Amino acid sequence: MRLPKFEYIEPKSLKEAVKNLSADPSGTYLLAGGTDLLVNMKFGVITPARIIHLKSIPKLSYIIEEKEAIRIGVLTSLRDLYTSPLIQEKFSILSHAAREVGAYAHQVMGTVGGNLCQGNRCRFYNQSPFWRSVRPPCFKAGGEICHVIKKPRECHSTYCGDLAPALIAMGARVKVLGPQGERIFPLKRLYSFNGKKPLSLRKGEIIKEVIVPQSSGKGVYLKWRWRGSIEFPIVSLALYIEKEDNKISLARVVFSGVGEGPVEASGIEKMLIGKTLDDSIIDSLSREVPQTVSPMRTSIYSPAYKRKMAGILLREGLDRLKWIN
Amino acid sequence: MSEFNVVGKREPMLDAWEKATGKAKYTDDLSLPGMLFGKILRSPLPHAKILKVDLTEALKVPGVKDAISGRDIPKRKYGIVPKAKDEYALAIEKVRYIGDEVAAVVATSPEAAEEAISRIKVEYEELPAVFDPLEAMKPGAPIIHEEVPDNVSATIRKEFGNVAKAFKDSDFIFEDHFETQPVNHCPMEPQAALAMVDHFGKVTLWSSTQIPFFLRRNLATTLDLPESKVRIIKPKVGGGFGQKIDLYAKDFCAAFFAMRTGRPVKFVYDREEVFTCTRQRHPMYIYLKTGVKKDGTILAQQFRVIADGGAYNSTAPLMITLACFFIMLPYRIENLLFEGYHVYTNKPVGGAMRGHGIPQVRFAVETQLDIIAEKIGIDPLELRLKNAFQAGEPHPAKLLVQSCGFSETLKKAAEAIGWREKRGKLPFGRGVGLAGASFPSGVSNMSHISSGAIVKIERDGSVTLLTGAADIGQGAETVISQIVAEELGVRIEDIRITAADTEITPLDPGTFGSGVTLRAGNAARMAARAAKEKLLEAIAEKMEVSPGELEMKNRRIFLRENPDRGFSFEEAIKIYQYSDRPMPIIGRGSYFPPAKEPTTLLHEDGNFSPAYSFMTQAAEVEVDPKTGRVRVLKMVTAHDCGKAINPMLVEGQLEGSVVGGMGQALYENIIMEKGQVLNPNFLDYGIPTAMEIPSIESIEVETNDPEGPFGAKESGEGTQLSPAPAIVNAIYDAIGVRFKTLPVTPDKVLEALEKRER
Repeated sequence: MRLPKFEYIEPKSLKEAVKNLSADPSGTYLLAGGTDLLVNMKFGVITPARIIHLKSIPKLSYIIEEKEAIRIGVLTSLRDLYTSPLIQEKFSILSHAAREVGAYAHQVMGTVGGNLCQGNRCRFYNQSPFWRSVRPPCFKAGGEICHVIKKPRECHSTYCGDLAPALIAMGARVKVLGPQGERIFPLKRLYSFNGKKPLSLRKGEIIKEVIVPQSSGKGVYLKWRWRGSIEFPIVSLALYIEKEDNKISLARVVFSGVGEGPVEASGIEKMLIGKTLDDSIIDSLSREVPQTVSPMRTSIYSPAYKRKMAGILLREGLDRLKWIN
Repeated sequence: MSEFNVVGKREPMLDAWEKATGKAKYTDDLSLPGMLFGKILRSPLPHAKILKVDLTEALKVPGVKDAISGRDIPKRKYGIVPKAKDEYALAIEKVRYIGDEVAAVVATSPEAAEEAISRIKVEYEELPAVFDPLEAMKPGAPIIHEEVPDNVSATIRKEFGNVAKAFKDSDFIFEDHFETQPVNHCPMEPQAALAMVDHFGKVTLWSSTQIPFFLRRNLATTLDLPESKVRIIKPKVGGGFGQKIDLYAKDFCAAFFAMRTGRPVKFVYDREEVFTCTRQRHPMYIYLKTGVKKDGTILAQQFRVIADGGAYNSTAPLMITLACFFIMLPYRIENLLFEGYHVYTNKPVGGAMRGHGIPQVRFAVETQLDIIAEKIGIDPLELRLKNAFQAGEPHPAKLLVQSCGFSETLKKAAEAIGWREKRGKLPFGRGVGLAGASFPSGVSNMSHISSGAIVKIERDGSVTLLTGAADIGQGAETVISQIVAEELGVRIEDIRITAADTEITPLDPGTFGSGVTLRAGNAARMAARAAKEKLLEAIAEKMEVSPGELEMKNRRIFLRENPDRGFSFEEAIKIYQYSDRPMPIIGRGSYFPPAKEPTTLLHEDGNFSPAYSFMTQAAEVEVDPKTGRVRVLKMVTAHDCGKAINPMLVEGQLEGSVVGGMGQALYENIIMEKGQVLNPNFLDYGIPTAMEIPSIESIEVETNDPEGPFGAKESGEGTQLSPAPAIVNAIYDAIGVRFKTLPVTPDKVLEALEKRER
């Protein structure tokens, strides 16, 4: 499978990139590490008229610590993220999540921004033209029907990124640059939960950096997959809690691989507040999880299995955080 | 035996440097001026009549030079087993699985070729399809090949001894049902072919093949050309494991388009095509009944094996026959009834894969042996030792086993895994298991099965070796060079090898059935010996001794009784030349495995192979009861490979093979839905990565086979027969759950543990 033809642009600044992108937002795609985009282009599910290569723009790869927050440049590679002593020491949930992405080559090429904007995945969509020729094109690939639920004009493709759950659990915000200038908003609002267009970025907007607040709590990122490398999460969990007097004062529970975006289990979060983590609480909350997520049959793994594993991951995560104050 | 200089040494593979630095040339690395790129249009339907193929629009794409459909090709069927030919290079009247070849194009760029196939219009009449062999065997099921109305394209029914009586005499009878999944060979190099045609109409094809001489025959047949008009050259090949013994559409299309256009043509499969449209290991349903005495003696076994063959035969009759005969080693089974069926379905095609029909049945036998051991209260190791076949015993199917280290491999593997200390004694979640196996070292007597070699001693003291053997990454060229170097008493770097070119090198059947070292190794050794004799004759004349008194070693020829009297290799060659003997010094060797009562087994019993290898795999596993994940901590593979010509390459073979077996046990599965492969890529098809690979201990049990060159036998293929049962038996030891269906994935383990808790 070969790349289709496209116009290729190397902007010198983010501003120039925004201008190029605004000119034809639907036909233009941003290229950073290319580990997601190029595969989809070879599969023919994305056919850009033009590509803007962001790596031609200087000074977008950085990790800067400030008093209130750290700022991570959009082109920071995943490898740079998890090898940073600062991230390893203070934001270990992030370094774990970055280390779990794909395999080593993806981590070297892949960027923070690219990972956050990684396309939703579906077993009917991320396939070759030959594979897809067996049935009519799906809604996401330009057709009419969603083969997952056999209904027209819907898309239930699944968000499978590793970084976003961890960053959302940390309360991260993103700074984006658009034709109207910069705006900052919580990362979780980046995700539209619309499988066909999973990102809520406005016309011409490009992520510039991710802002992660300094924190006093503890988090874990647990990714479930059958092999120790390469695979996307069957399901993964980012769990972050803050405690006061050994009681939970803040909890964030975010899953990947179970919905059209990173799924925050707000019911579970609420139930955690004010609790002291002991075995009976952990047991009862873990049993709740399978009912709180509703994955679809978008991969080779069954929704029932994903739900079951989501509960097992929460149990494992809470067990690990039980003894940490 | 005397001390060897080159044989038995851990020589790095001759092309290791070339490959490690990316300089080795595989078929896709080759390029010829004016070369065209090809692409194949494949069927999106599992079963359909082809009503019309319209190539008009494809031919209009700029850069497209030619396009064909099945109606344009000679109506000549091919198949790797002559009596089971059932396939055209491109489908002519109907398609039989999703991925079947319908049409092909060539263009000046791969992009144009891709564009062109998307413009071909095909009208199909869809036919009912069948995806399960049990369904396909039922009366009224859709007929996939008109000439096989019951969809059973190969069968075997064999009885040895008196099975009914033996069951009557048994103290215990065990009946179990096992299932194995389809797995893919996953060679690193996808299938590729490059063809050109010269002014005389001769086709030269560079192909990623395991068997150049068979490919020449098959390609000539499908092109309707005499064999002399076809030349096959095997460049570097990046792994085969059985998947590259068949002719594929890419071979035919490259050659056929080269003939039609007069330009060189290249076809390269993408990974999805490798997964979907080449070959896979047959999934099987296995019903197994075994009768034993109280003391563990196996009295009888009865098999009913149903292999899902997919849409075509490939090796069907041979596969099902091997499954039958090789289940009769490494244990003594006097009474055996084997019924095997190869059944067509509208799915990807089964073919030879490391172990060829045997691993599936071996999984059933070895798993059931542990069930038996538990029931009758005998240690699984003791049970196996008690029934272990020994060298020289008469075999019910007349296999002649001249050397057999099976019992020793059992003992050594058990010791290395810590059997006595660990079995049944580890904490919950940890366990050990083992399983045995046997495999042929090449095939004794089939058409076209001898190996030839030519050894030339050159004027400068270098040695040129011509062999037909096909090195597909296993190191055949290195091993055969070692054999020649040893025989001539020179260094391995003195050997220059040219291999696997049907126009230059002597006939060789190729790489399959684990016969290369034995067959091509013996041929090369004979050729070296013949050249050596000519040289020794000249030196003997000069020294006024008889040739028998001379020895050739360390690049010298000398008197055995007085090693100081002699000449250097270079001096000796000079002496030869000045004695007015003809140059170059050429030795020829042809080797045909001798066998008393040889047979293909397809028609009658008899001896199948010149030698048999024996092995035991032992595994230690850890099961996480929270998630169901199984981790293999350690694999031991004790293998009787005769004499290891190159222990490092033997270890490489054993380790790679063990990992493949582990993949079948725990990770790999071609998942299908209505005939469509859902995971035709390395993202979703879980071939084990470096992260999964356990510590592997390879134990070579050397037995010095009388037939093998320097005593060598098979290694690496048979090794893949029993890692899966060893792992599954270890899982039982760890958590007390017995799995009879592969692969044992975390979801299944978790479910089984939950069920047990309830």
